[in-house]
Amino acid sequence: MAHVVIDGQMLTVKMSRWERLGAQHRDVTVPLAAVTAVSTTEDPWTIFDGIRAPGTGIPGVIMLGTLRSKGSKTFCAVYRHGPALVITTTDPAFARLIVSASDASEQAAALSAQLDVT
Amino acid sequence: MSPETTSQGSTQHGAGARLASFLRSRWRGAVRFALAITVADGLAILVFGHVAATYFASFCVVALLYFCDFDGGLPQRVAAYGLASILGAAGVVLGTAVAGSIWLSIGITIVIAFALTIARSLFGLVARSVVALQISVLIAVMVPSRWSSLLPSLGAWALGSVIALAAALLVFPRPPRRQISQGLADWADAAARLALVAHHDGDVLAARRQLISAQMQLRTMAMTDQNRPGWIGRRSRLIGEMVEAASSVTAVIATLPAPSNLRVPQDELSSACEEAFLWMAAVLRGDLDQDESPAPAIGHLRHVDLDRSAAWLARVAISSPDQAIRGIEDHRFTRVLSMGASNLVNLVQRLEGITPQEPNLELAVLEDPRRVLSSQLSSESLWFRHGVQAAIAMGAAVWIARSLGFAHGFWVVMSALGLVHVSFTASETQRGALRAAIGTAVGVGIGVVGLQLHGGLLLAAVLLPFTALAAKVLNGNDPLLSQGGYTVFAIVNTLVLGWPARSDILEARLIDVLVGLAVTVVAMTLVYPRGPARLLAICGQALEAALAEARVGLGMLLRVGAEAADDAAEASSALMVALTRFSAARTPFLRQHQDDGPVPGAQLERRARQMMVGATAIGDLAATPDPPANVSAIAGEFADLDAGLGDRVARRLRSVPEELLEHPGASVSALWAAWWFDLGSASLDEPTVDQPSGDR
Repeated sequence: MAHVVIDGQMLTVKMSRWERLGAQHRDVTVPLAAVTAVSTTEDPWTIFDGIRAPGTGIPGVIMLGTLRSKGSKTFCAVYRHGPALVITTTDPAFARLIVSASDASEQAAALSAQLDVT
Repeated sequence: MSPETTSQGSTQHGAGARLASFLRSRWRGAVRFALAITVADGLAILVFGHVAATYFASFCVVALLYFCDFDGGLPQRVAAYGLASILGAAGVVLGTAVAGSIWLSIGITIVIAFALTIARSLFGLVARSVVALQISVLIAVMVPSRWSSLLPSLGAWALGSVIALAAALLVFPRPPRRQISQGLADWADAAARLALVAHHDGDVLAARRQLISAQMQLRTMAMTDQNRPGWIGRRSRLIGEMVEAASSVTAVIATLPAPSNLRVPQDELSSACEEAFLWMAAVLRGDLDQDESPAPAIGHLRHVDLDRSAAWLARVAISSPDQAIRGIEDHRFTRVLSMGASNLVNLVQRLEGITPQEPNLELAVLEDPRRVLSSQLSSESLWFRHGVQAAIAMGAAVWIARSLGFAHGFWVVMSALGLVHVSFTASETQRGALRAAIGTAVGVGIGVVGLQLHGGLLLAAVLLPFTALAAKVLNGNDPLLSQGGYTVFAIVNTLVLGWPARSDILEARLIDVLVGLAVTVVAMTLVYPRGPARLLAICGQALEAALAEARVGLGMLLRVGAEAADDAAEASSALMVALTRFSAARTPFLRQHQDDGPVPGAQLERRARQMMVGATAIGDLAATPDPPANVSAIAGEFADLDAGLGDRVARRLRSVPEELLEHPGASVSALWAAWWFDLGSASLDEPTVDQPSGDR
């Protein structure tokens, strides 16, 4: 399952082969310096905005891939209704990264501490 | 009816014999490959460690001994392996040069996939060698290789080349070709006997039955010895041409009635035929040294025989035009045998590496590689269509694997490569394609699950030679077994090379294979969605059209002389191109349908070849310095496509007997040409011992 890792000065959303196929995208990597905020949401389906292209989406079940809205893109790796990490960036590729995680709050806290951002 | 279908018992016997023949022809190559791949992997890991470069050493052996596996004499094989090794090394450099850019990688993959497929229409060692180039480029592109690792990659490729060459020269170096050679020698013995008894009033019918029987046995042997399409070496191709030539002579002889007592003097030609067939049999059995006993010359005697036939016709026509024409018709028996003898002696000489002194009588398909290749650059060519399919499928596979960042993504490409020559839409080939896809998936399952259960590098290394052995034995067999065998071997091989295996290896390989299969299915469904059966039909229609045009063009040449020579030459050239394309389409069809009995299209191909022989006779007639006054009437007959041309021409000649006396040479040519066209119009079945069509 997709998860967020920090390797050196880069933050990466790592995916399995199935997820890469579904998202039609390789692992997403952004510079740590581009991350401006890390937060969580209890139901990411309420904050989705735009059209998914390319990727795989079934409402309420799976949202894998790129969501395009006016002027920005969001990369999602979300399964069913449940907590997810929301990472906001200034990277030109993606303005937000939304990744399902059962322990989203703990991960957000750890990431924030590591990034020294709030 | 072939021997395999006469009864259930003989069917089983035929299947058993085919299996035994199949295994006999493959176990040597399998042992050679298994040994070489084990040594190559071991040495590569020892020298380079578990890095990407080792893949080049290992897959060099796969390219040279699994895919190419050249046959022929020692110098030919050394040259062929050397060429393939050099092409592969060039592929390593080329692939490394473009690997940094996804789009360049896709572009070069597309170009090479298309070029390789088209090159397979050449059916030669060069065409086979290109597979090394393709494999080395694909590995370099998919790893992806970097300039900094170019030297180790080239070193690994060189190591693989040396090991493969050493194995090819030291481990069972002689190719097993003796069975078909023996069958051809038996056929030549029967043909020599027929030439003898036809001349000395022996039992011609019995001798002809022996010839047909020898031909049926030869055909059975050839069916069990078909090579993978496009991977046929020069020697195999020549043997295949000899089988076809023997088949053609037998089919024509079977249509002829036994000769009567009306004889054109033919002592010398009959003796030369007998001598030529006996010479052929002795050379094929290895009982004759060509330096001590050179090939008999027949070409000059055939020209002399034509003059004698004309003189005999003029002499006999004084008293009886009917008997004169009947005698010329009877003489076809010896003329056909002499053509066959001349052709086959020519082919045997080429097989033994000797340049024939006499030109090939039968106007064969195009041989100039540039013309062969250009004849395939048409949407009517099977190889062109498969080239476009392969290019799109391979390009898409590289794009997906690279753009999604699949580690060891060459598995996606290799899966696509295995299926890319199978069409998915023609009902006849759907089953084969499905079996190949299932074979790949099952191979992945067996290979990965087996190693997951028991694990360990040592086990993988022990399994490597056995899986290699099985893969090579199964290569070219049923698509399921062939793909399954290769996939199990490839999984074990890549596990050995890339140890330690990742925990998600099963999932990764399954996804790679599924993606490769999906890409290929989509490409082949959307691009030129036709299977070999339908493509063969399309090529057949084009050949029929070319036949009709050539016939009209040659009729025009006959009627208005030199003014129509260009049109006739153009029509003949178009016929040759259509025949080349049709023959190229028939080869893969043969491969897929070798157990389905008589090959569709064989009659059409034979008909086209007969048409071309008839064309040479028309050329002779048109070039006659003093053509008969009734030549335009004869030409009119040639423009008519209906059968019975020989009868009509003979009737014309009988109606003006003085023409027979004044222009006997032209009359013989007209009768000869008309008869060949009649053969072309008739649908000649494969003759059987029980019922040669000449006896009906």
